[in-house]
Amino acid sequence: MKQLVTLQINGEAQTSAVPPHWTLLEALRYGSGLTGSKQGCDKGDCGACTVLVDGQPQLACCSLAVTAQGKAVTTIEGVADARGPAAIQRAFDVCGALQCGFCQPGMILSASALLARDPDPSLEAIREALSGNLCRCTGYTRIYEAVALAARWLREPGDMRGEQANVMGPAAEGFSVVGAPLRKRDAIGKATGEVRFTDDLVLPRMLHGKFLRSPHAHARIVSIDTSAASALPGVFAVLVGSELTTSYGIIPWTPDETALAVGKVRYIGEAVAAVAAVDEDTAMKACRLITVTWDVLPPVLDPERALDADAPLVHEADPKGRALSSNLCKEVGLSFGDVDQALADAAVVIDDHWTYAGSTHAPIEPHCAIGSWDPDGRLTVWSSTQVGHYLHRELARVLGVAESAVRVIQPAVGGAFGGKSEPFDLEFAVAALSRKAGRPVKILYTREEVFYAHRGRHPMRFHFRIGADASGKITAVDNDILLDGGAYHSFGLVTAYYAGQLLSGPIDFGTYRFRSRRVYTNKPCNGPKRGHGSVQPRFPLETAVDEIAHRLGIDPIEMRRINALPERGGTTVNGQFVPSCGVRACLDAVEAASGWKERYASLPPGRGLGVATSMYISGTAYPIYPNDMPQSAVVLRGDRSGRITAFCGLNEIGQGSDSVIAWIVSEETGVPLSCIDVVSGDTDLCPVDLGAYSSRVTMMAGTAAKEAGERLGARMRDAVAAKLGVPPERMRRRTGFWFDGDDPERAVDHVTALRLAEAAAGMPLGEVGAFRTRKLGADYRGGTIGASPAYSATAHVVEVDVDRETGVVKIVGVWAAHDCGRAINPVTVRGQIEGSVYMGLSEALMEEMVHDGKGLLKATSLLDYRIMTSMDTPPIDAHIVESIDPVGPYGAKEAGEGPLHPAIPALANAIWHATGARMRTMPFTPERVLAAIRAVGTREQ
Amino acid sequence: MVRFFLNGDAVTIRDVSPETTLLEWLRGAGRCGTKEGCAEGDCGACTVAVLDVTASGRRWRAVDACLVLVPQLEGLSVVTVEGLARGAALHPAQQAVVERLGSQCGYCTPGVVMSLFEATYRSDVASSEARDDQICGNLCRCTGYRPIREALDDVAGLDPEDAFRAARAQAEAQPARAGAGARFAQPDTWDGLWAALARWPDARLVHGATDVGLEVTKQHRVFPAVVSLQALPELDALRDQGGGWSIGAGVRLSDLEAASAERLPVLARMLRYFGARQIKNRATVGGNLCNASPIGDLAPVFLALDATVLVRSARGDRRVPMDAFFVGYRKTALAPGEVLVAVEVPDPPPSARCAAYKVSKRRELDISAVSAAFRVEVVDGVVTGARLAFGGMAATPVRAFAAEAALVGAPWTPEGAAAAAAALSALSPIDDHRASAWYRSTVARNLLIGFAEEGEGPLPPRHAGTLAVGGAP
Ligand SMILES: Cc1cc2nc3c(=O)[nH]c(=O)nc-3n(C[C@H](O)[C@H](O)[C@H](O)COP(=O)(O)OP(=O)(O)OC[C@H]3O[C@@H](n4cnc5c(N)ncnc54)[C@H](O)[C@@H]3O)c2cc1C
Ligand code: FES
Ligand code: FES
Ligand code: FES
Ligand code: FES
Repeated sequence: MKQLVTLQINGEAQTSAVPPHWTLLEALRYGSGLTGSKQGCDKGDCGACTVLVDGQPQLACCSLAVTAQGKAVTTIEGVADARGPAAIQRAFDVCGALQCGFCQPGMILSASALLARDPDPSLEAIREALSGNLCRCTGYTRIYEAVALAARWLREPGDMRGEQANVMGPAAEGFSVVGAPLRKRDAIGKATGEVRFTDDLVLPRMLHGKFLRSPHAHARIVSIDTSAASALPGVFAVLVGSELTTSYGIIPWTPDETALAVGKVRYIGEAVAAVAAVDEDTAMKACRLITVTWDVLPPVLDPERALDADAPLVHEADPKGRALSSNLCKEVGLSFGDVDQALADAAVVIDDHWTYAGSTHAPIEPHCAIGSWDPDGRLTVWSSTQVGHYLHRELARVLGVAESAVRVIQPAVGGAFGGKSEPFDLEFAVAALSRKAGRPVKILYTREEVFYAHRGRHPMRFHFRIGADASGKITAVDNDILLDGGAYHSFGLVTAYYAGQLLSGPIDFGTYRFRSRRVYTNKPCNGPKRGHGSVQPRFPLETAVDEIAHRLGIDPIEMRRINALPERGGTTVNGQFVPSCGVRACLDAVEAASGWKERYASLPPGRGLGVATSMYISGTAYPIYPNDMPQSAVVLRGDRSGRITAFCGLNEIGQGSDSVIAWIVSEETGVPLSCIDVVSGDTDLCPVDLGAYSSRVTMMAGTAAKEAGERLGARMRDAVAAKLGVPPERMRRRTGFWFDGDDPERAVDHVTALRLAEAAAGMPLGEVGAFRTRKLGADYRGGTIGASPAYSATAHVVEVDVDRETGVVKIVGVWAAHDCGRAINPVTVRGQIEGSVYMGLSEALMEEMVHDGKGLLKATSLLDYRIMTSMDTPPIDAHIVESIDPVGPYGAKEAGEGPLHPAIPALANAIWHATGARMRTMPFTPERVLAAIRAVGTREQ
Repeated sequence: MVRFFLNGDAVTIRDVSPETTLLEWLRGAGRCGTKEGCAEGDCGACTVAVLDVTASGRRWRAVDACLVLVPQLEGLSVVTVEGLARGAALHPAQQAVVERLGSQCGYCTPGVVMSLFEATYRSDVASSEARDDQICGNLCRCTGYRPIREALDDVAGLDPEDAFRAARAQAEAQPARAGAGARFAQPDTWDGLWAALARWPDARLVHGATDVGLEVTKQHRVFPAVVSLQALPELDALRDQGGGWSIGAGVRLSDLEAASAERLPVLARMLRYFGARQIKNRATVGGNLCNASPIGDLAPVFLALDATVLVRSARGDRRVPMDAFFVGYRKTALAPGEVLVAVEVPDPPPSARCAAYKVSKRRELDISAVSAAFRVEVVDGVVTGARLAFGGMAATPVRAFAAEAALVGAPWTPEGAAAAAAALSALSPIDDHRASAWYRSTVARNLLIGFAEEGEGPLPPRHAGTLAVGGAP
């Protein structure tokens, strides 16, 4: 005969008929299906069946179900709540307190009962409370730790995950956050696949778009017939160039692109039409149904040929409609001092030609965008962009709507490196297709399309002349540069300047002249890639300096010391002010770490060491379109719950800029990192930031965050000071607290501090901060281009082993030292240095955009366009040099681009050291290296 | 219809076309943790793990989801990055990536985590070479790899007592893998295969799909039908047979690499530089030979070793010498309805010295500019027999008969080799953007001379460090 028993199980009344001999454990496991409670022995020996009955731990196998009538029973299933696992559960996981896990349910309930009665249990108390729970796997230590950790979390609520995960070491002297090795905020979400990139977003009724792309490098579009495509079932919108004719371009003076080709195509792969359909397959099918009648024109592919008088014109008119007579898109010529005289007087002159191959960014995430219009006619575009602000402006202009009717949201971006730093066809296409179709539209590039979108490193040809006096001082540099721009302007005007303007440090020249010409060709457009425009000329400069050093019998590292800009307050030959330059310290670091002095002279044949240096901007003094508004701003909102939210339009692309903002705000306000949120990359919610380019974010958004943080911190300080009755100047802070500097015992936690500040203000807490453009740069036309608030410096030593039978170069090691001013977080700085070094070596060794005679890109996959794998990447020994810049926040400069530059010439110099062959053409493929070795004839072949 | 397990849950998909890749399906089904970086096996962003059961054992294998055809998953267990954490507790592979800051933009991270996942359960990743190999198929554009490599070192070989280990232990020795669909068959008997081929004479055979998958994702091919060889018995077996080794056409290249380390080092050496781990975990010997690529890396080795292939059809078995197998550019001697069953490799005679080389721009994950395999028999310092085979030197993998003839009777010295190498000019190498004809012939010559330079006895790697060129004892 069964008996009715009503139990309050995990807060829910359950009545069931149970045989009177059933234990509570049987009733739970078989009657209620709650199998979390385990049966380990069924006789009271192991504790695996522990549950709470009216809050008290009880062995469920030892009590009859009927005796629990009307009581509250808590099982393991009831420990977690809607917010997720309880602290004790998380703590068990974090501490690795489990192995097989069978004892865990009982353990956790025993521990919960303990924590409920004793919020700060001693180790003895923990042991005592768990003494009835046997574990056969763990040896218990970790379990005790877990209980203690959970107790701490319960006493000091906060983000448990964040707190344990973030702090890995102490901060710099005098700071509580700055300088500490901290984990990035999104690390766990990325490791679990939870972070959402653009292509991970799905909107209701969303359509998928595809492009029809040009098969010709140069052709006039005579007509386009889209009727068959439109008629295909499942197709909702078809778009051609004539529907979106407003031209755009990242530089406001040179808007020479349209979303889809209008009138003619200028490279193979240029988008001609776009289709939105129910799925990608249907869209692709529709694209194949579009017929285009072409008038095929001869293409011009070689940049030198492009300058011939009879060369076909890539653009027949400029953006204003004025006829063009040549493919020259920008020419810059600047001269500083009497270069010819200096060359004539020089003790050594190197005069030769160098070729820098084009390379592309190849982020692992292909570009993706989603467009959606709301019923009131407002457009939202989600895009994998690194320049949300410029995209916002250009979308409005091209689509012919007010800027206030456009919102750009940038989800997590899977790598960019400059390859997502201007508007692209897909962003306009999703917006326009979505407007036509009345439904959201997503476009994800194929990997092949990423290669056509390109905007990568410009191929450059150099005629480079350099002279030095007998002591090794560089007295003259004369550089004639031809840039292959590809089909459009992109950042071209800036690139043409950067190729010359950014070369003048850390090696200081006596006199300097350059001419730089960027030409159009019928190939995918080149643009900015990590180290925009300034990576290429380092190749001739730093290899030629090496050659001079050898001719004069000067050690190559010493040669760079002789010529370095001063450590403080230097001015370059072209008039750029360099507040701090740590290149000497960088050279010292790599010289020591690589064992240069001991090894340089004694390496066996085939082995070689090479050195090179560089300098790079930390943001540009002026925004891309002239205006007097701040370049970057941060809005902070303090909440009485103890949290601060920082809003900033910056674009987090994996470099960690969201984290930088959080660290700075935490530093300035004493609010713990776990209580700081950063909202970024959303033009509706965030104040402006111009984007993630030219290494500007830490300098500019960081300065803005610091200013806003100081202001909010001052309010907290004043309010706490008033409360404690001490003068504000005496107040100090550390993470989580404000306290009286003379009596640290008198402290107020950050939650109270925020509440006091809110009360004092009489309104919600909000503060703003900004980076305002100061006047910088030299006083001549172009003198402001390349002017930056601060400049980083870098030195690399690379070691190679060259196989002289095959020309295969193995990079054995690389030592890189980078002066980033102040490392706000040394771990992320190191990450940037390592990533840069890898990328530089990769382009030096194997990356190349190769086109055939018709302009067809030969390598449009990651197999044929080789980038280094982990296997080719040598161990990278990264060193941080902190010159503490007078301008940047806490003395910080940049670390995202500068550390790439020396990799290429250092590698070339190492190959020379190993083989005697001077590499003048990139990349250094086995074939080129073998040919170069044979040319110098160092060994019979 | 196909049924498999995804992160522990049974999944049944009806009406799936044989051209649907796992990556496409996962993302379409909202499982967006797995990323698409290229859709052609080059980047590893889509890496997932499959619990694979073959004659060589049961193991979690990292594979590129973009090259897995969904119907081929019948009966298998798949784990993606979303299936690793248990509540807030990260899997060791994830924890390691977090601890080591192995993620910047994070787009490669799910794939990196899954390659680390495979390593967690491997017992043969102690060497630094094996570790390099483990993650070289995951391109990362941000980190410079150091933190990823450190994370790998943290987890490699841990084999924790967890659900994944348990799943591996419990995997059935012979899972029911036979599958069928509208244009798809995965027979598990030979008669089933002949029936399928009789029904669809134009069907595309597929095994690891690392080649066929590319036709699907890149050329958007739709096949009349797809017949998968994956469930056939004995195809994945390695057998010793008197005086030689029989390598089943379905042996995964990663298994072959491990097994040949001792048994046939020259083959292991070549496989060391083949594709990437994710590719080798799916790619098969049969697929590599039957695509008849002029730069297929195994063909020169089998040519040099004087192998024979065993071919089967409804009509019965026949054997074809390797020398007669490649009949033209991407053409083999297989008749319609025939499949390759095994490659039979005789043990090299005691007097033989063998070596294999692959020269490419990148050490891993690259197409050969030139590949070469040599078997030279030397008695008293004089060459008594020579088989010199090359990839990249003609429209098919070829033997250099003229050079072989020149070598026999000559002394086995660098000078003798150089003289014979002159006869390599009889070959007309490919000339394309991957490498010029000049480079290919120069390197072919240098490889032969270099081989002779290596001298007698056990060999160290030829040039300390230039591992793109692997010599083998
Ligand atoms: C990223 C990447 C890297 C690669 N790297 C290399 C490399 O370094 N070296 C190299 O040589 N290759 C490389 N490949 C090519 C490819 O992986 C190999 O050729 C592989 O061995 C093919 O095997 P599979 O089982 O995947 O073939 P599948 O794609 O399944 O089949 C390939 C072809 O062979 C046929 N076939 C397969 N099995 C049989 C059989 N038993 N009988 C008859 N016909 C059969 C199929 O019909 C098909 O035409 C690479 C591929 C990729 C995607
Ligand atoms: S089951 Fe062991 S004490 Fe209850
Ligand atoms: S964890 Fe296994 S018995 Fe406790
Ligand atoms: S998406 Fe790149 S390997 Fe699969
Ligand atoms: S973290 Fe960005 S590609 Fe690896």
